Amino acid sequence: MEKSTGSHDSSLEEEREVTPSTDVNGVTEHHEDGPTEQEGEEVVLTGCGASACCNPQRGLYRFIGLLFMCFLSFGSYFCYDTPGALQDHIKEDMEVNTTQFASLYSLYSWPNVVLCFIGGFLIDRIFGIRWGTIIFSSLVTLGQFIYSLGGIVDQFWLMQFGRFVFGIGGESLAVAQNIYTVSWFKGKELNTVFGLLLSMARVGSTVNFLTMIPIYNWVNNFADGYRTLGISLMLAGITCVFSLACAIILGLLDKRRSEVLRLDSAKSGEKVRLSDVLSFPLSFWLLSIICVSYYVAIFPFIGLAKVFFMRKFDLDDTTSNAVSSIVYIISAFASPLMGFVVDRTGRNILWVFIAVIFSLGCHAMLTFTFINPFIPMSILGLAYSLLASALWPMVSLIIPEHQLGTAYGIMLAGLIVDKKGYLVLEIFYMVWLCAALASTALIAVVDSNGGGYLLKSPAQREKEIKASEGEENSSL
Amino acid sequence: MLRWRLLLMVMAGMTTARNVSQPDVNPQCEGLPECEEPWLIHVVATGNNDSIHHLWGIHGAPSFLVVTTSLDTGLNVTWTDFIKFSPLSVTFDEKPIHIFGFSIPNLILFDDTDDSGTLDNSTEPYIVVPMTNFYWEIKEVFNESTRESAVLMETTKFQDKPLPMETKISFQIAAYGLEGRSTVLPHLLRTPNSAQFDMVLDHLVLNLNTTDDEILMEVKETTDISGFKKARWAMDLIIFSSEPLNEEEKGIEFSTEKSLDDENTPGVFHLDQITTKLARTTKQGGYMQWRPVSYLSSDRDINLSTDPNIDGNFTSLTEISIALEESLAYAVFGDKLESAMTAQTKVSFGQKKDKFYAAKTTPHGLLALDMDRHQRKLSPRW
Repeated sequence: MEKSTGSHDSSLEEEREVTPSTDVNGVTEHHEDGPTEQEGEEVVLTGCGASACCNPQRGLYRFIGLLFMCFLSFGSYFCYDTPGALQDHIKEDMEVNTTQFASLYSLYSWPNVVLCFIGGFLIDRIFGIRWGTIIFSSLVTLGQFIYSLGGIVDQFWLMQFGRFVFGIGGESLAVAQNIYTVSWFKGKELNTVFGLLLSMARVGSTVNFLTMIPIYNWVNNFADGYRTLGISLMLAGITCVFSLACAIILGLLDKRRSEVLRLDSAKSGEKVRLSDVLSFPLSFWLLSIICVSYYVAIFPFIGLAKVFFMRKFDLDDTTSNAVSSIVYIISAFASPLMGFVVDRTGRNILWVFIAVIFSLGCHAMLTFTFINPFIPMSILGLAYSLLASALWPMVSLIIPEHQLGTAYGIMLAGLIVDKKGYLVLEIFYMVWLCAALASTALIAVVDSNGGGYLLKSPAQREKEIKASEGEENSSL
Repeated sequence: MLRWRLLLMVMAGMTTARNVSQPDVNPQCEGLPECEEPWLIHVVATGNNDSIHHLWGIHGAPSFLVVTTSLDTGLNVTWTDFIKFSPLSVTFDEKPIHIFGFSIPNLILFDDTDDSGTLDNSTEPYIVVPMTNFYWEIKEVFNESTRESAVLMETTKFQDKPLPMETKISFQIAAYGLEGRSTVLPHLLRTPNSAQFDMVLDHLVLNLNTTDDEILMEVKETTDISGFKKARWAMDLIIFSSEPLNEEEKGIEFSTEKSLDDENTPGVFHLDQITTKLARTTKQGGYMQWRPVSYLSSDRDINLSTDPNIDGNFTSLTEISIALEESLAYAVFGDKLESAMTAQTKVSFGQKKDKFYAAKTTPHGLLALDMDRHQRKLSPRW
């Protein structure tokens, strides 16, 4: 799962804070990001309500809200990668092959290719941010429950259906989290909060890889086979229940905040019509190609990596999961750092290029050597963090292409493993990374023909902005 | 179903194409009632400079030999001696240049209480099932070209009692005249000097803890096999060669290699092999090779597989058991089998947490070996 969080180029901040969604009815609306103040008498708080933790006017209240925001998607991120952590057990207990196993990821990703556009609309027009968050969180919880039940009753189709329901809620929940974040922290610590939320997302994935096998082994003491699997997944679902509780509490906090500060309900921001797609520039499409082709080599790879490490590098299942989780662990710490670096230096395309090169090198190491996989996976974690920090700020719209990359990437990956083995699979990933590299080089050429904005440092960009403002003033 | 495939080969100079004859069942056997049941199958692969005789004996301990002789050297079987298990009852017109092969004297059923998948000296309890207890028939003979010959053999009886329909052991052995790669997993490489051996233990559930004839063959759909709740199969394996043996040197050795390429056997990066001294020193000797994977389903899905675990600490043959005495190996070597270059070991099937072959109980399995008399460069042509 990925979302447009992480550090951003400060000069793009105003543009980036607008997180538009497509209004499917074709009406374009422009909203100031975040809630607006209402006219009326100032609310006076007394007693407990005036204390720091209960007063929305105080920083502590926002910090408490941040705490619940951080855990809003924790369950979703934790449970998203349960297939990867339990890959060999799922295949054994449910007697499915790698292709069928991969559908547990693709069924999450495919709906989210389009749901990202609809999520904002649903929040703005139908549910509102608070109920929308609770509904999406409930879908995540329900989906995880159905997925677990499929394991308990040994029905793989039910597991697949559960993942589909889980997917409907998952990315829309991320949209909702984004809206809350902008609403509460716009103009204040937004970059930092985005970075923190991305780190929390990675923590959730990491904890999954580190804990699911011990949980499975513990459950195996009193259950067996697919029941062990189902019960383990049900226990993982507790994190979704916890996140749902956070969603409810956050809704209450947001309601109080809106009442006290006399704010309108948060909205998703500027909307983009679907027809606008026809007028997107070449750079947008190249960025989409980079998104698709890069993420093919990341999430599908991590989803299938555990058994690859067990078979090629003779690691046990616990160690294999630990290796798989390294990418997320490193990303949790490195993302804010990389974001800071990109913020200071600009030149986003250059960083994307470097990230893709390093990712390609990591896959080459895993393919053509027997080097301890901790090493290339650690480097991959750094490269992935760098790419996310450098790529997403260049994208001013919610792009579901990373889901597209994951969706068909994981399906193909499963088929390739079963028929042709892991060597061919790794070459498949490297081919896509080469496509990402070529697109990055091309976008650099396109950008340089248009002034080279993406290749400039913040100082150069600021100078350019001042120069253009000066020209405008003189022409007036 | 437990499936294991092995390549058995010997080295003989250049690897040139050979013409492979039709499988000759019980060659030269006439006028004896024993000629009606399969004792010996003979296939000749004729090259430019020499001939390779593939001898497959199914009586006693099933034995599979690759014998290199000069061109036009013929096989001689003294059937009256052979059916009495006399030594040296199978000979050649001229002394063979090289002999290499293996025998399976026993299956072993053991209770893998610690779920290790391996059988060692401390494993208890276990039941030894001599292969002499099984009766065989030839189900099918394949000979559609002069470059390949194969035979499929299956058990029909155990201790004189018919086996239930779905319970059997089957061997498929093929001799080749061209280089290539098997079309079925694990896609072992083969040469004109090689034979490939497939073993399947299909629903092999035998109630060995009873003397009641009527229920001996009962196949139970339970996790309890012959009283073992965590039953696994293993087998004794004896490898032999006609190479001269120097007592100070290691004759037959086991080794394993790792490859980057799993394209031919998805998910398997290792290749196990057994080599004779000549194979290691001069590239001319006996060679066995296999992928360490045993498939548990007929579609050979890696996701439903387990490991064949071989004990690499070989010991020399010190005693010729009854099963071995009734085998083709003894008919060819005679009492010299004890002093020949030999290695005996055990191969067990299983790995930790594989649920003892099947989630729903009845264990079955396959063994696939490739036997060749030419050493090949293993990478990148695995």
